[in-house]
Amino acid sequence: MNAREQWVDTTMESLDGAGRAALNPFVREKILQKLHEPVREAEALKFSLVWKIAAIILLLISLNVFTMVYFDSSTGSRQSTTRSVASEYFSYIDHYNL
Amino acid sequence: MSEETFIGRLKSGEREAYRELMLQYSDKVYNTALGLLQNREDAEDISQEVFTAVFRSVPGFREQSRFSTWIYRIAVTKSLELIRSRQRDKRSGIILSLFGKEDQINISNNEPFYHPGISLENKEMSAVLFDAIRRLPLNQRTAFTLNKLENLSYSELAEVMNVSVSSVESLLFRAKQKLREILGEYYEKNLK
Repeated sequence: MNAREQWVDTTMESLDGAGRAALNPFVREKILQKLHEPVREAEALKFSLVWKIAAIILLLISLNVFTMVYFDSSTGSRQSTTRSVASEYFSYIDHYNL
Repeated sequence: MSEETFIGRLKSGEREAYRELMLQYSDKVYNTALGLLQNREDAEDISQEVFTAVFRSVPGFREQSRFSTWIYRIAVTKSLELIRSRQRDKRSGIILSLFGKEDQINISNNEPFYHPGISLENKEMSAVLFDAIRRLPLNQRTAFTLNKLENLSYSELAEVMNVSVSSVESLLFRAKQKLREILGEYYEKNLK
């Protein structure tokens, strides 16, 4: 066997019995922490969604109540205006003997 | 504890099971990625991607293959995806260089790679071998690296690579032939 073949053989065998490279424990912990992050994010998302829905329902109820109160009071004021216009009208009729 | 029970614990999202998973498989995944990518940072990133993929996909794991095979397969797929994307970047860099945009060329990693598990006496020679491995087609590179660094048998390799045992034999034979050829040229050029 010539020197070239011998060198090639030795080089080809240079990985034999190689130990397993170990992942840095710090990186391992970081990965473990990140693995559980999506769960926390999903929980946070679920929680904020509940609050958003509650806020929308509250807003809708408030709008309904406001609308009811507003229209109720505006109907009352409209009636009083009609009454005052009518009384004014009739007073003119009486005054000018129409 | 049986593999079935362990997978059941993972599927139910038990945190302690994930810690055990990391302890049992993190070095295997990292060593596989490191062997294929020959870069520590890339191998760490891939390890993270692999465990994230395992975490997301374990509820759908149908236990048709062994759990270790499934994890190795994810590690190999992710590593090869990164290698292919780097090769695409390199090709586009060559095209850009033709148009005189040298600043956009992605510089390939040609630095010698020293695997931490190799003994000191074999360090230099293994760096030459790793450089030669980089020049192999990806399937030969995968078969040779997993066989040498993870000591996977031909049948295990066949399962991980989703090919027949005879295909693995053929891949390893051609890989060794090609490596001998590359190393021979290296000897002629640098050591004669």
